[in-house]
Amino acid sequence: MSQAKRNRTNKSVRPARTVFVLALALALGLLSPMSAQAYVGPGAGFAVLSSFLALFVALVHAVFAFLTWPVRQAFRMVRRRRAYRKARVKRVVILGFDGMDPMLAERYMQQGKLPHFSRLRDTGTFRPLATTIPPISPVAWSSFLTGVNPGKHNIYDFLTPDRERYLPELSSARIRDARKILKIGRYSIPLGRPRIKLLRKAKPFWHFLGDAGVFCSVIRVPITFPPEKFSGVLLSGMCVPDVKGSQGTFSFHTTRHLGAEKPSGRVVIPIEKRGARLCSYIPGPENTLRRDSTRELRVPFTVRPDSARGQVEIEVDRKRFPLRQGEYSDWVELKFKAGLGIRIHGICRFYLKAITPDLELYVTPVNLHPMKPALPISHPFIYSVYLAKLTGLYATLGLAEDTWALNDGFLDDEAFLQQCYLIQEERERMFFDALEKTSRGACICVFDITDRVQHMFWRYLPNGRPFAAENHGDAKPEGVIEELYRRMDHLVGRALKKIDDDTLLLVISDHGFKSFQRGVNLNTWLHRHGYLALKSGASSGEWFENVDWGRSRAYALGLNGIYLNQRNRERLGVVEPGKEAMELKRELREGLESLADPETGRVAVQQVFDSSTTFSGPYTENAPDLIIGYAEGYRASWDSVQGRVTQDIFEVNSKAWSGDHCIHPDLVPGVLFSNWRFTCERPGIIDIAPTVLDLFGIPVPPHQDGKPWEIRPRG
Amino acid sequence: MTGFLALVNHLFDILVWPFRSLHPFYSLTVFSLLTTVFTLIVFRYASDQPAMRRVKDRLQAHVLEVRLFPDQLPLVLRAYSRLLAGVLIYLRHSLKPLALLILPLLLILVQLEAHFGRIPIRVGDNFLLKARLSEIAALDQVSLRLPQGLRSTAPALHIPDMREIDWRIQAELPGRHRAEIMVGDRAFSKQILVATPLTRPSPQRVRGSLWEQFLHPGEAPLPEDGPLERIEVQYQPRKFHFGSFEIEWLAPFLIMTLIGAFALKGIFRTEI
Repeated sequence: MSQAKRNRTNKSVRPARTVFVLALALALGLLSPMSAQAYVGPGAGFAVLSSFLALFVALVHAVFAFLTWPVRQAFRMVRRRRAYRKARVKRVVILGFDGMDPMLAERYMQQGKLPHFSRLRDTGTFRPLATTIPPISPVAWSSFLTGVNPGKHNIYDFLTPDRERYLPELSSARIRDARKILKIGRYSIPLGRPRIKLLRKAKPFWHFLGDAGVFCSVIRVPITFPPEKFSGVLLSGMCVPDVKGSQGTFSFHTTRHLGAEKPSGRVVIPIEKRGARLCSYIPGPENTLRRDSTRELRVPFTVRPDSARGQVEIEVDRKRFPLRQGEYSDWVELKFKAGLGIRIHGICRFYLKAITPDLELYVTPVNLHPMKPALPISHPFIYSVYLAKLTGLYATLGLAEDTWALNDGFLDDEAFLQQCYLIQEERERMFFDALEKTSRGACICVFDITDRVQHMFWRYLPNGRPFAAENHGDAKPEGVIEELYRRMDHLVGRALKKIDDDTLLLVISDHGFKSFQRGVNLNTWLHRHGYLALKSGASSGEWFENVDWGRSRAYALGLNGIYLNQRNRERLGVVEPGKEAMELKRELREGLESLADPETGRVAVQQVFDSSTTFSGPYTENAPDLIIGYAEGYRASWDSVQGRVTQDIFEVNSKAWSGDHCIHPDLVPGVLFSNWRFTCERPGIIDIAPTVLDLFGIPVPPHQDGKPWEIRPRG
Repeated sequence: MTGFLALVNHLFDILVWPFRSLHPFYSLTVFSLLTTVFTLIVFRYASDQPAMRRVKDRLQAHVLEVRLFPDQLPLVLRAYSRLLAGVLIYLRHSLKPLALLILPLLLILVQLEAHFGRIPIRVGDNFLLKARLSEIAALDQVSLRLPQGLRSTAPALHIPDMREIDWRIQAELPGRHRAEIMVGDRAFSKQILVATPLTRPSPQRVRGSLWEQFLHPGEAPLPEDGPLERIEVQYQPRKFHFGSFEIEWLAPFLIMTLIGAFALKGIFRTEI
């Protein structure tokens, strides 16, 4: 049982008798007129002021709302009339289960394990949902929310190359310091907020709905950071950074002597013994306020182990809490003090992995504090505050489930699953609150757990391939994905209870899953075939270290992309655009489409897509020149993604990250479930935005590439 | 009880002593601060702080709800009903610390009233000295002896219906005077302060229950078997001036403790 649950249990056993006796004592005291007069003291003052202040503020809001109501209502009536006059639906609820696989869903439905999904299939719609090229979450969800192909929304991968430096950048958002900085002595004080630019282009469909007066609640849809203004509420999802500005940097604290095994990064931090205390610190962001230092901000903490009871007591910022082995703490609030009274607020959870022989403590990436976020994570700004106040603190990080900690062995399977389900509970609370608040309009929520758990636990499916002949029984690890699907089915069941016949429910996923058994290092292949050159005598390093760009014609970066080193585009480009580039692309395509794995004899690449003919739109030039559609079982190797040339082109994937979807899109369609029947030949995720607009009677903007589906009468 | 009250009197006299030459507002500020700290500590340890925080968070969430969804009337009304319910739950969580605080705070407030509630009589001012007897028969046996510095300016006024006798007195010299009221051959004294710096004027010397003594701690109680129930000096209430406003000490005390509590609750990690 987690600490959070224990606290809730303890709370419930509070004796009512004590309350009664105290109430009686207080009442007797107050009944004496003289004492009542005297007892308008600070204690009662606190109670009255604290509680009635809330009422008073609410009353002010309400009075203001009441006074302005006629004007707003008249304005909205005009808009709503436009929106709802032709609407064929009262409410649309979209549940996004990132990575839910149609084959697995079909299999479990056949086995009778998913009753609510089966109900949707039998009375409504169940179809595979075509994903995007490439089938990666940021790309697919961007097409979902904009209804356009990547050439118009500008997202092709998690990463995009900086053509000047040949280094990766986050594809969805760019964060820069404040425009003006006041330099006083050793301080560098920003005059304003950091500049955050959303790199995704094209308007999400909820903007069109909002403009027409249709209210929308949008929870954790990927590529919505930074949040854009619109008429509705939104909590940003995938790509929200942690307080360090990274996509998730956990820390691992141990008393073990690190010695030679000390990793290159700053992830592992020693716990030092100071007297009777064990001390360590949680790393935070760099202190940009001080000009004379680049020291990272830290929050120290101490640990007092109690081996006999299998727990420790942790003290952070003068707050103490016990933590048992194998359990996560509640969210712990952290303050990183930068100086001049400026603090960066974050939250993290502790996980006690071991007490003996060495103390091992895992700390999640420090999430932005939802009540005091250093960067905007919701629209309006108070929405994240509201959710935290109502449902408790929650993970704000885009990729909150720490797959890297499991991949690198800092967490075990059980601990990772615990973390995923703690986050899932938070999301469910948010979703059901949003559902309650959206009695009319659109409610959209994306759950990430389906993606993360399948990535990490696909290895437990027979041979890493689903539905192989061997039966591995009901051993727990093999049941993880099945249990995941059951839980999502339960969630759908709860959602179905809260919607009526006038509500359209869509359960969708952005892609499916396949086994990731063999990694392909495209940079090694390019190097072997003379397209990528290293400096003479130098060995390759991370992010194209020692690449001789003057002699390199192509490079691979990210999960599916190959880029030409093109003149006038890359800083040291050598390939002439036009005929030479076309010829090079043809060569690369032919070579890769015949790339055979010597170990298995299979061709590793099913199809190579030329972005100039695959995409259309003003941002096509930002796309990788070629998109690799790997065959089943293959994917870009870990080193290839990071721009490193290795010895072999192929390598066995032995990491926990064993399921993947960054392959040929036809192999990994998503799912489409609905309580209504749809007529559509080959539904795609790109069609959802125009379909929702069409359902609300709003004209589909001509730039959208998706096509609205036809709805058959219900029943 | 008398000993305890004397001890408390002494303690507060010591606390006030450093500020005797300053404006009373300074010492009131210090007492407000000390009271705030004491109250915060009691709240912290006597209340279910996580529960209070949860309730407060929910209250704030419902306020934000009204702000976020103003066009959805059912939601706003629901938010209000939840707000009201939340306020009741919050008050329930406050009961325990409030019950624990009631006696200490009464003690503090009584002492503060004694120090800041009244001002000593100014030289030249007239005031009333009242004595109430337990039996009307003794009314004719009462006489008054005044020390040097106090002068009776009118004959004693007998009010048989109230078993009371009043004297009109003028203060002529500053100091701590003691008037003596004779009933038959028994003498009962009453302290009268004239133009002294910040001290503790005792408006009433009483006989009776512990509660009465608790509320009037300035002087030793009158003997239980004596003929007098109460001796009272009508001191003027002390006023604090804020611009054109004149207010008694309780208002600034309350405001300062509340502001202090909200300012210091972070330091003391107390949820209020």
